[in-house]
Order: sequence, then structure tokens, then C-alpha cells
Amino acid sequence: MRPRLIGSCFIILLAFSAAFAADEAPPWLLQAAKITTPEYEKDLPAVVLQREQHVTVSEDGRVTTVTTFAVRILIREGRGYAEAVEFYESDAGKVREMRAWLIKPSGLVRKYGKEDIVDAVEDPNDVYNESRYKMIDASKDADAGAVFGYQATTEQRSIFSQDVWTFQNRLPAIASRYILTLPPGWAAKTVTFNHEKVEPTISGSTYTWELDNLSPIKPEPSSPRVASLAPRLAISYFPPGDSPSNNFKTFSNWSEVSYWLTQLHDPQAVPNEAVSAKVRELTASSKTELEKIQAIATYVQNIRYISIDIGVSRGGGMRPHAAMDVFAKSYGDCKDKANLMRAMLKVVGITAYPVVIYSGDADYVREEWASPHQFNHCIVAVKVQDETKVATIITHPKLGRLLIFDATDDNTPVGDLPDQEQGSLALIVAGESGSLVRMPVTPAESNLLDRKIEASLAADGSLTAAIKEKAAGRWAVGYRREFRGLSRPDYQKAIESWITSGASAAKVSKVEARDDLRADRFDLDIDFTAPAYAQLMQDRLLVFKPAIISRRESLSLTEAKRQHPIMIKATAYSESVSVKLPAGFVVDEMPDPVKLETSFGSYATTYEVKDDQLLFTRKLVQRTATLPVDQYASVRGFFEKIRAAEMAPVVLARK
Amino acid sequence: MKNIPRYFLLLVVAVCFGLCTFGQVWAGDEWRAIDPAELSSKTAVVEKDADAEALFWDVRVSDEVEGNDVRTVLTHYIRIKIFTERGRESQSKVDTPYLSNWQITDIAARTVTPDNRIILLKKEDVFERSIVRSSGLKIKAKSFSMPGVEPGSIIEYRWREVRNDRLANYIRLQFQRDVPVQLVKYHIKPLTNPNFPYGMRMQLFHGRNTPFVKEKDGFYGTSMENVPAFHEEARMPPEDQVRPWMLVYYTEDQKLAPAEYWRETGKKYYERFKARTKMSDDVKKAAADAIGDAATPEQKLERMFEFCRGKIKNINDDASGMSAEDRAKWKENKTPSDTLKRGLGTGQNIDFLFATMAIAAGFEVRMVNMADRSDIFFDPQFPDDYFISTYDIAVKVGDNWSFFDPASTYVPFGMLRWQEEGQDALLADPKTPAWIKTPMSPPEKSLEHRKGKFTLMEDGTLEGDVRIEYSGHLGLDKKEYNDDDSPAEREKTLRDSLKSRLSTAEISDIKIENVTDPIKPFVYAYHIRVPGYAQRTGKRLFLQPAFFQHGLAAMFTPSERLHPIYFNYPWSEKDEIEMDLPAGFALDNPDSPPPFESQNISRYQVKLAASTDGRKLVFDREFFFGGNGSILFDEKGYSGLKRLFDILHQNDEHTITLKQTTGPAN
Repeated sequence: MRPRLIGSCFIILLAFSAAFAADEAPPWLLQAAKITTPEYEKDLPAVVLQREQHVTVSEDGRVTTVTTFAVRILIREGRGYAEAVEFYESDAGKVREMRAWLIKPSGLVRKYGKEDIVDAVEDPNDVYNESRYKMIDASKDADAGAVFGYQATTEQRSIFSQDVWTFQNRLPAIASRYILTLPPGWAAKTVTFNHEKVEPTISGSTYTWELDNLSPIKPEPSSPRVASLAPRLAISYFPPGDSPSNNFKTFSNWSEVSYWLTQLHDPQAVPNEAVSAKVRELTASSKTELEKIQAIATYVQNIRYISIDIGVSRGGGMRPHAAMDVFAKSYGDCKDKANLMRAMLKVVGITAYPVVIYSGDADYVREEWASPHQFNHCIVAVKVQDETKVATIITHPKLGRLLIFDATDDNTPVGDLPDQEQGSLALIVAGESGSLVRMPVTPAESNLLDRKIEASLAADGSLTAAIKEKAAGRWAVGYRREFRGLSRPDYQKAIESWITSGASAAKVSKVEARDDLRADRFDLDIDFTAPAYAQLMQDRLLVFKPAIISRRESLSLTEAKRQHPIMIKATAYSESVSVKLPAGFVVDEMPDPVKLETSFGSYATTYEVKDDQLLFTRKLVQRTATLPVDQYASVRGFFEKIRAAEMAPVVLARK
Repeated sequence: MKNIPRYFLLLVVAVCFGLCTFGQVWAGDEWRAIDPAELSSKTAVVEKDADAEALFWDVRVSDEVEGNDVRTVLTHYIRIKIFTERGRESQSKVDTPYLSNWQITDIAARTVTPDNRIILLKKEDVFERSIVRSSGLKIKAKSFSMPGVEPGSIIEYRWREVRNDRLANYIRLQFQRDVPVQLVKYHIKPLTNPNFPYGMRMQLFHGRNTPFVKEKDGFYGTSMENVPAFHEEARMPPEDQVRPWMLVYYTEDQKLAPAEYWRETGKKYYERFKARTKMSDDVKKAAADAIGDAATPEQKLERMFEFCRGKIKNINDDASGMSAEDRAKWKENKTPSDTLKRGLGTGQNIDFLFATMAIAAGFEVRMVNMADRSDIFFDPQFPDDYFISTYDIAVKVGDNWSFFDPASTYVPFGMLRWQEEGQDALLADPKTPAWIKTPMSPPEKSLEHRKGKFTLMEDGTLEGDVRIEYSGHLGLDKKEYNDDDSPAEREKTLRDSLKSRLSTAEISDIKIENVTDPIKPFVYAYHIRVPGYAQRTGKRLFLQPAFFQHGLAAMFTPSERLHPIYFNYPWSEKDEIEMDLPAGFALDNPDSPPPFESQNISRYQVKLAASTDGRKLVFDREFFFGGNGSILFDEKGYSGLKRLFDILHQNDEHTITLKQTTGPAN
């Protein structure tokens, strides 16, 4: 019998929750609890009965939000949804009130109040961040059949007159509404994303947008993010006559957003003598514009990522720290890095602009709504001459050739862009010349893994092999991230684990990695032996798979049906394997070559016996595409055929 | 001493924050001089590939009293050499979490760059944050990022931490960090007060420190040199069984030798046991009713065991259906009779009801206390009962003691939780307490018994029905994992597990049985179809008959090993597979993978046969590991153990050939 131990601070805090009492739920929650919901799939954890936010805007810049939420727990795994969470910025806001109730299947009600509230920082890993949240966690008391509801009032002072409302997350929602009450004479405009336009009902100066009976959004592999699937409302409100309010910042087009952000960024991008001296040192041997950019980029990439956000609600989260301070401390966040890079480029006469972007979902930012709220990341656009040629240059109608670069991602070199940013809309912050532009997408050929394997098979089935890989683009980023992220012994272990997954009991005798970030290359040489790679059958047949490593042995697209489009990213690999065959054996059976050609990719294998060598090649090219659901069977079939091809054995027979 | 309740939070806080890992002493107001050789060094001393290395780590721990208030004051000073970017990333952000009635003061930090520039941390770059607050508790942190760090830099920082209302009692001070340390020093000052009749003790585990030396101002110092970084490995013993660390605690100054200490402790424990096994008529009756017509002592005990386990609901069990607030309202049963009347109780209540019933039935019964094997492997030469916090009920049957734990719902009769098996246990007794060993359940007690009836198609698709039964510790693990899940989630767990090794599998008719049944084995049953299971070539089909191992990775893949290898418990596997073969194909002289055996620790054997008409393949596989209770292996034995599991993996991947006898069907 073990004594029960308390394992974390949170559990201690939550254990302070008061005991149940015979409480009463408010009428709105009792009414929500009576709602009959449709029949869902049996693994759906919960259904949202009511999702509502009522935002009241005062002329003095105060925004009061009353959130009303009710959810029915359908299975035990849904208990985590019995949770009230309200975010706020501690410098300019507070959660004024928060109450919650749980109606058990028996009808018994538990009320949660002040004593149950936990107040915590949003990201405990940040050195300082004013973003916090208050939470009531009723999950420990909830079970299938229970209805949880909460009501919270938050107050915030904001300089922005914009808001975003997502009608649902992955859970279905029976009723979802956003209510906006404005001062008399004010007006609101909205844009609806991922859904046909939602029109409001208007009563006086109160607007209500509502959607009902929203279906669940099932998680699926290679699917668009939920933010690109769930109906979303972007709201902007304006004082009478569209005249600018003293208390709110309004934007009617992207140029205005650019202009406003430029005011925040430009004064910070001033180099001092220390910065200038460093730039001179870094670029002393640089002969071309690209080399200068690369030298500075590498330096800025290597500055530590540390986020310190102060005055977020007043736009502080969008204003970088002064370049000279970031340089002196050698740490900063994405906008600090972009800003420092601008300042450093300025020293060598190169102009650069901040670029604000949404990192994590290339479809998130929409042109129809001009707002800084659409972004969560900052990168840089460097104005380059015609002589500079890399894959991530775009041509801006007013600013000319711009090289797009992310100074925060230290694994992605100049000339490449992180996956999640490629193809996204982003705002070039360049005063009134700034505009929303599409980020470049690198082609499959820029993301190539070239692998050559020289192997020798012995009559007892043992294999000796030497692998030489040359990775570029996405492949190199992945390889580099692993190489840099792991200690040397752990990297060795990771390689051993990878090799033995294809060749059981393999002994790796050499692992040699060569990383050249600037050249976008990561080379990896591995030697290994595997004692029984081929199986000797009845002392007469030797059977082995010529796709020795990194076989596609598993599939991610395995479900028979699909709800959402399939997103495919550009990538390519090319492999040639030469296997010296053991003396006394001849090839008895070889798989048929495979050749697949589709709109989103191609795949081919070849087999050839030359003297005492088996030559095997495979080549995959995958093109960036978002494919409609009706092409799911074709996509799934494509990868199933690749899997089958890579599992196909060669049979040798004793002469 | 450990019953002083106000000190309990100290342990909790240590668990929450891992604060003990910061422990180090700093004596002066100035930074210590840096050796130029250290600044210019390019590689670590303790581990050559280290990304960073602590040059020293110094902590002063001082227990103090002021009026009626006690406190522990810790002063930390650490100096770290950064060698790589990875070292810079991992070491240069510092958080010092603390409770609201603690203080963190005197934070100072500086970076010395390779070119000997000194960059001091500015006051305004130290941020105080309230990490989390709730009614009654607040956890704060002071955080800073070291300025101007680059590979080659030396960073150093120090701070003072005052923990009010507690002493350094039963705290674990660590000597190992995530980077290697050249020199770890602890300076400890115990509380000395005429009204405080306890003395501080320090016990080191798994390392070699210097003897404590008396220093000035009442401190005692010890150190350890060249401590490598802690590296986690798969299947290693519990962390505190391999890391060097020191337990600091107060105890009455009895100067008892271990044997004497345990004798006294065993007697005290017996008194507690006696108080919790108060006999009553209703317990006697319940014992008699439960025993019924059982004849042998084992049968009688089993009936009482199943009564306690089956009829008394354990409120601590997460599958009991009791919510957090139900538990909060719970009022403790005072006697076994209370437990019996209410039909529910804590685990302790259930165990003591069983003990009382066994006494009523005429058995000699005791309580045994032992350490938890998932925390540490306890050595009774350590004369303190801090570690032996878990317990079971011992009943004498014949000349031997048998052990029981009816409070653990899924532990079968005759077994204990694996954490309590094979452990030295203190048998409480009024006269002669003794250390006895709890048995380790043999491999056959924890069996994964898998049966599959399949049909293989000529295109390589395999389809059929599977039933798997898990008993013993394997069954317990499965039940514990699944019992709190909904049926849908349990199915998902099974599907995900199958998909991870057979990604093309289509699974249907899933039945998951006995998830919350305390006695019956946990069962999975399902229908499965696996396209592409066997590989088809022009004239052959290649088939891996070991269906249940298809797609599994080898147990051990790294070539090197730092720590011992540790399995929680012995286990066994038995597979019975029948496979109907496709028309037009015949087995091509199939051979079996060879059996192996390793000193009764492990055995593997396979029987592969075809029916007389050649249309059906029969594949039986048996494997066990952990015979003779062998579950812990020295790291020097890693290569041999790896070889055994590599051979097992290769044997499981063994493929047989089916030859085409007729042309392909149209």
C-alpha cells in the first residue's frame, strides 16, 4: 500500500478548493443544461452549449467583457473542458469577477468562487511577461454528463479598437455569439473568415453576431490548423464619422497599420558606436552584399531568444527594444532581433524593413482585415541589389527586391524561410509604402535530401554499409536542429536508434556531421554493420530490403474518410544504393520498378544488377499543395504505394 | 522528528521546485578571482563533450532561530563555463522560485567574456514575478537572463534565500546537475538550541564526499569533485538510486546502532499496528462469514482478501467514482469496525480491516514497512525510517510469512505492488522486530497471453481475430492505465498502439474486458485486417509469423550505457497463432528461429509447424525475462543484455517463404 503523495504546486493549490455544498446554478446555465444535443461520434469529449462574449466599449478606452460559457462533458476525457480561463494584461486590465458552476448528472450543483481562482502567468518560461490568466478548474469534480458553466467579467484598457472572435474551437458549439455595445453614434465593421459572412442583429448601439449548431472540427493529420477552419469574426469599431478617437487606434487599410508599426520600430533601429564597430568586424572580409547580409544575419541569429514584454496593451508587445540595448545584453525576442539586424545593416548601407507575420499557420493572415492583431512574429525584409540572388527574394511594387529572412530561427539560413512562414501573407513595415505581401515558397528542389549508400552483403546475411547524405532546405533544417539540440552522446544515440530501426542490431562505427548553415548544407556520413540484415532461408535464399534505412514503414493517412483538405509540403529525396552481392549468390527475384506521377508529387524506384552489384534508386518529389477532400483517396493511395515499394524485398538464390 | 508538521511543507516545496538542486554556499561579498586558464579553456574537464561545466557550486545552508521563529537560510554561488551555443542556451536564464513568505535577496550575477570583459547584471534586469497565486498560497520567482553570454564566457551568480517557518529537515541536497561540476561544496549549519532536543544528520547516497570539516561560525563543510552531468537513460533505476545526493534531517540524538534502532522502531510500529487493528464482534463475524467453508489457511486468507478488496470501496482509487469534493468531505474511519460498517475506506483502512479479520480467524498478523522500489533501493544499515513509508500486511502461514495488500485494488492475491516486491521489510513485533524479504513474483505470474487466428490473402493482407490476456503486474499496469478512461478512450489507446506498429491496420469489433475487475485478467479482443502485412514478389510471399511483435523496435539501441539496467518486474509472454494460408501458395520449407536461454533469467522458444495438408501455419512463441528475480543489471553487463534483446528482436523479425504453386488468380 503506498501513501498518496502530492506531486505538484498546482495540485496543492487546487486542493484548497472548497467542499461541495447545495448550491444553485444561474437560470442561463440551467437553461443551457436542458439543451438536447445531436448525436456525435462516441469519442467526442464535450459539446459547447453556449459560448458568448459581450464586449462593452467606453469612449475613454475602457473595454469591459462579460464571458458566458457552458459546456456539457460527454466522456471522461472531456473533464478538462470543465475549466474557466480568462486572460488579461496585468499592466492595464483585470478579471473583475469570475464565478463558475458544475451541474452534476444527478442535478446537484457546485458553485466556484474567489477561493477557487488560480491566478498565474501565461508563460512561466518568459523572464517577464504581463500576460496572465485566472482560472477555475472544475475538472476533478466533473464527469460524463455534467454541465459546467462560468461567467467572468474582465476590464481592459486598450489602445486598439479591434477584436477577434472565434465562434468555436474543435468542439461543436450549439450557440455561439459575440455581442458588442458601443458608445452612442459609434459603428462597427466586421469581416468573417472560414464561413460565409455573418450579419449582425443591431439594437441601438448593440450588435450581435451569432452562429448556431456548429459541427466538431476533427483533428486529422496534414490538415489545416483549426484557426483556418473555425468560423472567425474580425471586428473593428469606429467613433462617429470615422474621425480618429483620442483613446483608440483604428486602422482602415494596411498602409495605416504599416505606418503605425513603423513609428514603433524605426526609432529603435539606431546603431550606436558599439553596434557599428561590431558590424565592421563582422563584415570586414565580406566581398558582396549577400556576404555582408549573411555575416550580420548569423550574428543576430546567435543572439539568445529571451522575451521581456512590458506595456503590451499599449502596444508594448509590438515595440522592439532599442538595438543598442539588445546588442549589449545579447538577448531579445523576434522583434528585437529583426530590429537589431536592421540597425546593423544600416551601418553597411543596406536598408531593411521589419516584417510582421503569423508563425504557425500560413493561412491565418487575411488581407480583408487590416490589423496588427493578425500577427504573432516579426522577421525582416532586406532590400537587395540585382546581384544578390537567393530563393527567398520577392519583388515589392514600391520597395523593390526584398530578401525575406527570419533572424529568430537559428537553423534556417539566409536564402531559406521556416516552413510555417512560407506562403503566408505578411506585412512589410515601411511607413506608408508598406503593404501586405505573400511570403516566398521554396520549391521541392531546394529541399532535397541526397543519399548514397555503398553496402556489401555477406553470405551469412550481414551487411556493411556507408551512408553519405547531403541535406538542403527543410531537410537540412531538421538535421541541424537535431544536431544542435542534442549533446554529442545523445546525438550518437539518436543516430543509432534511427539506423537500427531499419537494420536490426546494427553497430554504428562512424557518425560524422558537417553543418554549413551559410551554404544551406548539412552533410552526414555514417558507417555501420548489421549482423543479420538479410535473412538466410534454408541455406539457399537470401532475402533483404534494398531500401536499407528510412523506409516509409508507417503511414499517417490511414483513416478511410476525411473531413478537411490535405496539406502537402514541398520536399524531395533522392537515394541510390549499391549493394555488393555475396559470392555464390545470384538475384532470383527483384521487385518491379515503381513510377507514380500525380499533381502533388512523383515517386520512382529502379533496380538493376550490374556485375556483382545490385543498384537500387528511389526518388520522391513532393510539391506544396492543399488538396480538396475528394482527392483524399488518391493522396492516401500514393503514400500506400510508396510504403509497399519500400518494403519490397530482393531475393538472392545460391548458385 | 519527522512528525513535526510545520516542516512538512519543506519536502513539498523541494518536490515542487527542485530547489535543492540549487544548493551552494557563498561566503564573501566579492566575486572570487577567475583563473585565466579557466577563461581560456576550450574543453570541459569532467566530461570532454560537455556544452557547459560548473567550475564550482557552493551552497551555505544555515538553520536559524529568532525568538519563536525558525528559518533556513541558503546562500548560493555558482560559476559556470560555457563551451557551446547549446551550453549558453541551457545555462544563461536563471529562475529562483519561492513561496510568498520566503525571501530572495542579494541577487548578483556577471558574465566574463572570453576577452575578459565583465558584464554585470543590472538591478532593473531582475524581474520579480508572481507565477501562481490562489487562496492561501503564492508562488513567486525572481528571474534574470545573464547578459552578453557567448561560448567561452564564464557566468556566475549568487543569491540569498530565506525559507521562513521551516528547517532543513528531510531535504535531499543534490550533488549532480544537468551539466558536469568540477567542485560541489555544501556548508551546513545545524540549529543548536537548548530547547531543541534534536541533532542534524547528513547521509550521502551514491557518491563519495569529503568528510565533514568544522568551519567557522558553526558551519560544517563537505565537498565532492568531478561530478558528471546527469543523463537519463531508458530502463534505468530510479533517479535517486543513481544520482549522488545527501539527505539532511534532524533526529533525536540516541546514538543507536542500526540493529538497535530498527528493533526499537519495530516495536513502536507494532504499537501503532495494534491500535489500528482493534477487534470487534462484527469484524469477527465478517471474518467467519467470508471464510465460510474454506479449509486451508491459504483459502481462508484468500476469501478474506477478496472480501476486503471486493466489498470495501477504496476512496483513494481513481476508479472509485469519488470526486475531489467527496474525498474532501471524507471523515476517516477510526476502527476496522467503522470500515466494515461504511463499506468504504482509505487504503489504510482496508489493509487494517484485512489484518483484523485475519487475527479474528486465528492467524498471527503483523504490519511490514518497506521502501518504495520506484524511489530508492533501501539499505537497512541506514538507521532512520524516512524511506520505509509504504507498508503491507504480513500473515504467518506455517513457518513463513505471506504478504498481502488488499487496498491495492488490482494486485492479485499472493502478490504485492511491484514497488514492494523483493524488498527488505521491517516486520513490526512487540518483542523481536526483524527485517525479512518480500518475495519477487516470478515471470509466469505476469503473463501476456496472446492468441490470434488469421487468414493470409495472396496479396499479403492478413485478417483475423485476436485475444490478449494480461495477468499479474502486466494486468495491473493495463488496468491502472485504462480504468479512469472512457470506453472510447480505451479503444483509442488500443488503436493507437496497434497503428504505431501496423500503420495500415483496420481494427474492428474491439472488446476490452475486466478493466476494473480486481480479479480477472485484463483482456483485449479485436478483429484486425492488415493490408500489405506480407510482402509479395513475383512468385513468393514473405511472411513474419510473429504477428504480435511485427513493427516493434528493439529494446535497446544505444551502443553505450552509463547507468545500470533495471526492469520493474519479471514478465513472460506466450503467443499462439494460427494462420490459414492462401490458395495457390505453399510453405517453402519454413524454419524456426533458434531458441535461447540465459541462466534461467530468460528463455525464448518457438514452435513453427504446418498442418498436414499444408494449408495452415501454427506458430507458438514463449518468452520470459527476470527469472530468479533478476531485474537489475550492472552497466558492465549492458552489452550482453543488449545482445539478448537484439537476438530476440531478430528472431521476432524472422520471415518465412510461401512459394506460388499456381498462376495468380484473376
